[in-house]
Amino acid sequence: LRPGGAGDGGGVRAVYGLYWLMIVGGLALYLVVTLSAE
Amino acid sequence: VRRFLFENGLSLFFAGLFVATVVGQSFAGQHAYNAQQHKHGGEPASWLDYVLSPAFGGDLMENWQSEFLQFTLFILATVWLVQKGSNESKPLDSVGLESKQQQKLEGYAPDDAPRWAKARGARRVLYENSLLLVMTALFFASWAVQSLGNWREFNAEQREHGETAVSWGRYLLDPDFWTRTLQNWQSEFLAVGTMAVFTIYLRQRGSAESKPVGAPHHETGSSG
Repeated sequence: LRPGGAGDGGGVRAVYGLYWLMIVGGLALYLVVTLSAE
Repeated sequence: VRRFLFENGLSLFFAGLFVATVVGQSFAGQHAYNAQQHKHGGEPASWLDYVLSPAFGGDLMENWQSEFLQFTLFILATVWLVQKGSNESKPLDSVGLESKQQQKLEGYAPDDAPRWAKARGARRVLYENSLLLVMTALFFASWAVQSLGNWREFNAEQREHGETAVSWGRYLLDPDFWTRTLQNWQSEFLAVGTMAVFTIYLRQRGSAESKPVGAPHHETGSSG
C-alpha cells in the first residue's frame, strides 16, 4: 500500500503521512489517556 | 515550497482547519468544563489537564467515528447503489464491482499502475478494498476510543452523585452511549443524502463536488 508516483516523489507522500500521523496520533493518545485515567 | 503548497493545497487547507478547530474546541471545552466544576464546588482544570482528560477525548472521538462511518458507508454504498443525475453517483450502467478492464487490473493495468493492482490473489483483493478497509478500521477504532472516554466520564458522574460505577460492557448498552453515538450519525447521513440529491439540480461552477454548470440534470456522475 505504499504511495508513490502521485507527484514530485516527496510532497504528496508527506501530506499522506501527515494525515496518518494526525489520525493515528489522536487515536493512540486518547486510548492511552482513557485507559490510564482514574 | 510554493509548488508543494499548490499541489497539496486541499489537504493542507483542511489539516489547518482541523488543527485550528480542535484547539478552539479545547479552549471552549475547558471553559464549559470549569463552569460546571464551579457550580459543583469542584477544582478548575488547567488547559492541559482538560485536553488530556477522557471527557475531551470522548467528545473528540464521538465526532471522528461518525465521519469515518459516513465515508465507509458512502464508499461501500456507491459500489452498488446509484442516484440518477447525482454527481456523487457513478453512471447507472456501472453498478457493481466492474470488470478488470474498467478497473485497470492485472493485465489491464498501465505501466505506472500501483504494483498491487497488477498482482493476483490476496494482495490484489487487499489493495482493491484498501480504502474501505482503512476507513472501516478507523471508524471502529475511534468508536471504541469514544466509548472508553464516555464510559470514564459517565462513571465519574456516577461517583459524584453517590451511585455505583458500571462496567464498560454495561455502558455500551446505556442510552448515554447511544444518544452520543446516534446524534452524530444522523447528521452525517442527512449530509451525505443531501449531497447526493442536491447535486442533481444545483451547481457550483469550478467545484469538483459539482457537475459542470451546463450539464443536464439527468447526467450522472460527471464532476467538472
